[in-house]
Amino acid sequence: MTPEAEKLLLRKVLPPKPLDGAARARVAAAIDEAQEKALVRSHPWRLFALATAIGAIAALVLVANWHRHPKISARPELVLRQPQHERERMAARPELVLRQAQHEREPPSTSQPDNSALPLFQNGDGRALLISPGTAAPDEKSGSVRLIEGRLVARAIHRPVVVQTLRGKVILSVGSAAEVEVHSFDVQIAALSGTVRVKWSSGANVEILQGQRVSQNGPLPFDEKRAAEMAAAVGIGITPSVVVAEEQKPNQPAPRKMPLASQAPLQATPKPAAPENLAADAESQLFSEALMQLRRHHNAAAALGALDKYDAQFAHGRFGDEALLVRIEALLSDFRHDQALRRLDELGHFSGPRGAELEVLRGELRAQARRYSDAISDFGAALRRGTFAERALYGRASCYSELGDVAAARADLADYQSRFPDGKLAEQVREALGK
Amino acid sequence: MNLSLTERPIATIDRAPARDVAELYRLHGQKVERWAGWLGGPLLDVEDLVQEVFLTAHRLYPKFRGECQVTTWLYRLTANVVRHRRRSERFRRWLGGSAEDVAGHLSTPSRQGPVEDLERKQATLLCYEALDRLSEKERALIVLFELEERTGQEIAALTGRKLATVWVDLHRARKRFSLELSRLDKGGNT
Repeated sequence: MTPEAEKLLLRKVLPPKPLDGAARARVAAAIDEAQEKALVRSHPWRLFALATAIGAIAALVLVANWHRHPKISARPELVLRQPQHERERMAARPELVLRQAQHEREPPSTSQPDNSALPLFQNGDGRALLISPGTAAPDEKSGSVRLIEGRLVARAIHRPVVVQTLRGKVILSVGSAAEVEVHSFDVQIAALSGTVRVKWSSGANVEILQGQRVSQNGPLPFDEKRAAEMAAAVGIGITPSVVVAEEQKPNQPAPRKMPLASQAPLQATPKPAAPENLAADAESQLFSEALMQLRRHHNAAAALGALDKYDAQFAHGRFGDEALLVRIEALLSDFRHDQALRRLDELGHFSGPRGAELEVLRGELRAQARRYSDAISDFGAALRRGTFAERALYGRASCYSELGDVAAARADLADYQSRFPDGKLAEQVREALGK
Repeated sequence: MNLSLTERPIATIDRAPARDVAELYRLHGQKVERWAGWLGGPLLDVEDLVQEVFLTAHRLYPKFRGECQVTTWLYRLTANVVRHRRRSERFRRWLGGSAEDVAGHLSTPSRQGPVEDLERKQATLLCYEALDRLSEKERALIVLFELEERTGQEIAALTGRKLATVWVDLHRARKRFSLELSRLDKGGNT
């Protein structure tokens, strides 16, 4: 075979087909799985902690479902019967008598126990979940309290209601309703209606509005479907809110308050959602879908698909900036750096709170694409803003170095060293300056 | 928001150590894909190879002391994984596989006509058949230089050898490759 024929043959060889997004996601998942297994293997105490946590959860579930046991529910009098002197003592405390009286009015059926209607103190979980005796009034005149699947759903109608938990106090103002969920190390509170104040035992005070969910560690995603079920249990109807959207956009105005529950009839049927709320819900759902695909399932292709749908349906949606950031993140995780850079190039000048981050990111991508001069201008803009200076300084020094401007590179590295002596890249900077 | 690339500047990707193998995959996954695809040829499944490379990397990364570049280390892992996989694949074919397996694994670009596709498939098969007759070292050099079109310096950095050594080895590998191609062309592939 002649050398020319050989060359021709080599040119005709088919290049390997690059992996698609799904295949990459599968590989990433396999790596994650291997890492998780190794973590447990390398730290036996973690296994022990995991087993303890599972045991604790199982115990909590057992306690929460204690009253569902057929033998116990068939003998409610064993739980509720109290000696005469105890009744006399309780008579001096009207709120406790009220609870007992309510139970006597509505004794639980032995054939089909209605867990949601049982008074709170039958739960047997007094350590974790207690109605404060002085303020709680679980009767329909002043408030309504239900236990549903281990969660407490409370509604204050005429008086404020206080729910005391081990992690803090939940104060429901008149007309508000909340769901309180107690876990082993965590208490989660969701405002179903109105305003709910939480006083954590750490001393922090938080006020949450309808459609928000918090724990002592910060805000949590709000499950609207479950919230609607819980709200219906205490006699209020809620419309789908835009909670996910509000959590993602800190500059948005506070969520709209629903009409006070006390102004609504006690067994009000859920009102149909307003068209703008439905649109907002669809918008937030699409955006959430993209986030979930990217963050939870590590499926960049699916996330990009959801974002394409989002862009098609909500061209000027409220999550425009965030959607762009998520898209960039998805493109990067799918190794499509050139597309990410193209997107960022189209934007030109960045404004807003994420501007500096985007500038640094674009600078890094431009540096990767060997567009050092453009990258330097991006890093310079980010440095003028004053944030992300660590990465910007190092990136600009790298670019100067690539362009042969050793003096400027050294100046940036020296600046880095003085400003970030313990920075992530301090070691590399020391090495570079030492050369 | 945690943009995946923003945790470390681009300029340091090859130099700063990755925290774990997941980050290693994020940073170098594409390169490993490419190496595995070229080195493995049409017979091996790239996804399997990449997965095996990074699972091996996960096992060995704690022992990686940074004596060479992480890309060099990853390339060696990839070459080893491909070598083992090719060996087992040869054995499997000897036991009962057929050439149809090979054709089934070929990627088929659809932009060109069927004749062109067929020619390219045949060229790929012929080329890899000739490559399979070379030693591992020679095979890797031809793949990197001729197919992946890497420069001598890049090959030297990847394989951890001196540049002069790379050129000498490459010269020999090309001669062997030409010889094997000629033999195959003349029908001496029995």
